[in-house]
This record gives sequence, structure tokens and C-alpha cells, in this order.
Amino acid sequence: MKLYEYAIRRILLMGLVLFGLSLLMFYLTRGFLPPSFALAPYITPRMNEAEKLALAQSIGVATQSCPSFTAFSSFQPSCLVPVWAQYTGWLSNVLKGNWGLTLLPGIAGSQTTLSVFFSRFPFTAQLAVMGAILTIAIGIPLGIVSATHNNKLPDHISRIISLGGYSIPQFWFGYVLLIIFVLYVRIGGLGLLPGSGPLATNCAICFANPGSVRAVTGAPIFDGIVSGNLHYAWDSFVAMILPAVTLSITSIGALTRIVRSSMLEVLRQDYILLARSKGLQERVVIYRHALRNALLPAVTVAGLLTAFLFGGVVVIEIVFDLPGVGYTSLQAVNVFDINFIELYVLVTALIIVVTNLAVDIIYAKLDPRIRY
Amino acid sequence: MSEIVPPAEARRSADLRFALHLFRENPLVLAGLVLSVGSIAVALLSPFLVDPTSWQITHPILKNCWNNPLFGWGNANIQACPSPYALGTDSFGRNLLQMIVLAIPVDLQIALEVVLSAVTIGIVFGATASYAGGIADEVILRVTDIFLAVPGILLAIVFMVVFGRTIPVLTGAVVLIWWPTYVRLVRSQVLSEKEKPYVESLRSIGAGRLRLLFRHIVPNSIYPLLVQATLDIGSVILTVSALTFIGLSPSPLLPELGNLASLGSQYFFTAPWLIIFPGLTILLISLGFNLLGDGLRDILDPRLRR
Repeated sequence: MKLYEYAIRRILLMGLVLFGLSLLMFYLTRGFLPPSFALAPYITPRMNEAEKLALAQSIGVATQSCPSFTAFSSFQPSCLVPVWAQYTGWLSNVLKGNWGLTLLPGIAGSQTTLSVFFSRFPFTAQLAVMGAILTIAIGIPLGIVSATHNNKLPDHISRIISLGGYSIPQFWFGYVLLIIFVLYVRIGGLGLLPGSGPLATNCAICFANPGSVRAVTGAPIFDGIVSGNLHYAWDSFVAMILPAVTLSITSIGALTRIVRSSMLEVLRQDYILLARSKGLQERVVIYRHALRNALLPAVTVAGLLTAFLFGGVVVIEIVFDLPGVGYTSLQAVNVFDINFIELYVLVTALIIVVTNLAVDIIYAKLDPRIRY
Repeated sequence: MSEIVPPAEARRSADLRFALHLFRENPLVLAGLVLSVGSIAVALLSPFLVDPTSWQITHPILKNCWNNPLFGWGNANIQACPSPYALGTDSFGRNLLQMIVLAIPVDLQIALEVVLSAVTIGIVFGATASYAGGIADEVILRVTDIFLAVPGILLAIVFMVVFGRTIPVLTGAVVLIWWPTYVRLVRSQVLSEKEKPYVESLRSIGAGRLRLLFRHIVPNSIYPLLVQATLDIGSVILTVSALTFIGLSPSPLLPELGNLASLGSQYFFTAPWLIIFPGLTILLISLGFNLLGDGLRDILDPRLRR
């Protein structure tokens, strides 16, 4: 099979995965609870029966032929729409681009799901990207040092960091960092805590009062740079350091471990012996000959690490009180806002699946032995 | 067959001695063994160490006590606390050390149940997929794809909000995250195992397919599964505690490490011990199983014996 044929097959499968995922999430949220749960967040005390019925019909949980709301709420069979019909109704709406109004507490009904999601998503993406950069910048060198100094002090230190990162509860690590950096260590007087409590001084101001920053993308660092307000960009960057470190600690551990073991494997190969025996410097042997092959297994877990990072943001955003989609998705689940849940799940799944595809294609390019 | 028994036995005891030697040589593995076995021991002994009903009794007057002289944390409540508590008291006035001792069996039990269910599901579906091949393989693989494409924690949150916040549902929610990994693992193991010559020779003497699969191939691919399961006990505890930490605990009083940390997170500036010690316990248990799993991999994987 040619590479492009393989890619096309994978893209088709990707569509199947996204479809299956939307079905799974829909069935999980709608299929097991009485239909009144789907309706409850919409209902206000002032509504009369007819309005409630119209609402139930408009979100697709009651049939058009349903005589009254009391009939619907006493689960009369003529009123109930089966889950698959609810799903197809939802799907046809979504395919037309209609994701409905948000149900999030506080802003329910005032904004569309799409605008709420995409105004908060850049923030989460910024956090995840910073986490990914930290993971690569720390994980790979740590793995190399660990392998080249096998069973010596640097190896022990990096193994402890890697195993510790792998075993540490992220939410706890976040709070420990907050306790250390807010109560005990202040670096350069910079408040590292945006907008939570009286101890945050500098950055509480910088988020509440953005000055001349235009919300171009919604990612504060990027916006600051684009509008020329470097002070704002720097403050936002500093405020994101602790969350990004907390987010990446687990994936740093995982990546270090993988790089270490694959580097050890490669260093035992004959061609490394040959490279050394022809008198090459150790640095050349490691960086030019060993590293390229050792990084191949690390590339394959990029998709897994992306999933790690996007799963981690939910907890990180709660710990650090950040205005991203991770925290919002928890609120959305609590009010059964199916549109938001589906949008969040599909967007993150798309990112993960596309990363996996890209990894496989890059892998095939990097390693000529791979054939699809 | 009788004449080959002594050498096999001798080899087994040599293997055992070599494994013991590796354990001795690697202090980290020993630390892992101590931590994991220690946490299991505490879990088993916990009903004898602490009154199992003490978590239901709150003492509002003892809220957030800390009169342990070891660290500098003090608080205004110190006069109200009649006796020193090793790790202070939590926001319900309960002895935090007792709560942690009661919480360890809860977390370990959930983790063991999750890993055992995931391994069982993995063996059944993974072996079926790799051995049946064709459509069954494709369908099982695509279903695992779907589950692996979504951030696990969100799936678990939805599952718990729908089915209610109880411990069995929590266990189920985490199994939902974990089973696809094991299906993939067993599948790839069986695929590589079934190409080996001994399978062909067994088939040539007329071994049935199911017997071949579950009596020979699965047991031979069990070691990587064992390593992964040991490593995953640590990760499962992390996930379970993260879920209860973000508010999916069955009850705010429940002694569960993530829930105890969650109670403490409201007071983390004024009463840092409330979050530090439950979290530290999670870290130590999880570290113990990870170290043990790493060591098991070194011992069980003959390629690393150089």
C-alpha cells in the first residue's frame, strides 16, 4: 500500500471514530436517564405547560404529536422519542452548524455553544501547547542523560524525576507548587497566581484590566504579542508557568522513560560500536548516530501524550482557577449540556486523532523500513 | 518426560536466585516492594488500627487543628485541640491520620478491581480479536479507537454524573478508561506469540483452537500484562483520586485520598497539612507500585539481563 492510500484509509477511519464517539457520548448522556433530565436545565419557573412542551419538542425529546406536557412528564409512550431518533435530530442540526445555545450556569441562553467554546478554547490550547513544549524540552534531554550515564548518579536522578512525575497526583502537585511559590518563595515579586484570592496582586490586575490588548485569538500570550503589549504577554506567560509545569509533569515522566529505554536499546547496537571504533567523538556518536533512531519510539507516543495533556487540563484548570474549556466541560456535564460536551469531545478527539495520523506519516518518512 | 524434570527445576531455582539477586542489587525496586507491600498491609490492618466507623463522626470544635511541633504551621484553634494529632485534624474535626489509614483500603480496593476487570476484558477481547482476525478484529480495534480518542477523565465524569456518585460507579467509570489499553496490549502480545514455532507444533499434534489460545498462548504472554497491571495500579489510584478531587466523591465525608485532599484544598493557605498528607500518601502508594512494576519488568524480561 502506498503512503497516500494509507493516509486516505486512515482519514476515512477517523470519520468513523468521530461518528462513533459522538454516538457514544450522546447515548451515555441521553440513553440512561429519564428525558426530563435533558429538559431540566432549560426550564424556568415562569414557564407554563405549553411553553415547556414546545421546549421539549424543540430540543427533540418529545414527539410533535404529544398532547400535553403532563403526558410527556408521565412518560406516555406516544410522547417519548427514542434515543436514536434524538441522535439523528441532533446530528442533522449539528451538521447544519446549529450547536444551540449554551446551558452553562450564569450565561445560559445568552450565547451560542460555539461562541462560548471557541472563546475559551484558545486558553486551553495555549496551556496544552506550553505543556507539550515543556514535555519535549525536559523529557528528551533527561532521557538521553539517563541512558548515556546508565546506572550512575545522573541516571538515578532522572529516573527518580521520571518515576516521581509518573506517580505524582497532578492536582496535588499544583497545590504544593502554589503553597511553595505563594507562601514561601516569591520570584522577582511576580504574582504567579492569576485571579484567585487576595495574595495574587500583579497578575490579578493584568487579567482584570487588559489595557490595550485586543482579543484576537483568546490566548493571552499571543494576544499580548499581537497587540504590542509585551508587559501583558509576559505577565500572562508568567501566570501560566505553574499550570504548565503541573500539566506536563506526568508526560515528562512518561517521555523520559521511553527515550531512556529506546536510547539504551540503540546504544547496544553494532553500528554504535562501529561508530565508536572508528574514533568518532562520543558527542557525535550520541547526537548524530544514536539519537535519531532512539527518538523513533518517542515519536509514536506523541498522540498518547496529546491525550494526556488534554485530559490533564480539566484538573489543572480547576486547581488554578483558569478560564478554559476543561473546567467549563465539567460545568457542562453537570447541567447535561449535550452540545457543549459533544463539541468538547469531538474537538479534542479530532486533535488526538490528527496527531496520531501525523505521527504515523512522519514515522514512515523517518524510518524507511516501515511499509504500510 | 520424567528425565527432564530435574533440569527444569534446577533452572527454575536458578531463575529465582537470579531474581532475588536483581532485587538486592536494585535498591529502587526494593523501595517499591516495601512501599507497595506496606500499603497493602496498612489496608488489610486498617479496620484493626482505626475504628472503621470513626469517619462518620464529626467534631466541629476540632476543625483544622494542628499542634504537632514538627513543622511551623500554627493556628488560632490550638487551644481548642485537647491532644496532639500527628497529622492534625481535617475540616470536619476528624483525626487526619486515622482518615488516611481508613482511606488507603478504599483506594487500593478500587484500583485492584479496576485493574483486574480491565485485564479480564483485555484477555477476552484482545485474544478474540487477534485469534479470530477479520471482521471481529476490525470491529474490536475500531471500538478501542473510539475510547482511546477521548480524554479519559471526561468520559468518566459523564459516566458518573449519569449513573450516580457511588463507589461501584466510580470503579466502572475508571474501567471504562482503562480497558482499551489492555485489549490492545493482549492483542499485540498474542499476535506475536502465535507465530512462534511451539504454537505450530502444538497445532500439528491436534490441539484445539480455544485450548491453544487460553492454555498456551495467553499464559505465555502474561508477563508483559503483569508488569502493565502493576504499573497501572499506581495510575488508577491517581485517576480515581483526581475524579473524587474534582467533586465526584460519593460523600464529602468519605475517607478516600482524593476526597480528603479535596476537603483540604479549600484551606490550602491556612491549613496546608490537609492537602499535603493525603496527596503524599497517594504519591507514595503510586510510586511504590510503579517502582515494583519497573523492577518486575527488569526481572521478567530476559533481554535486559546483561
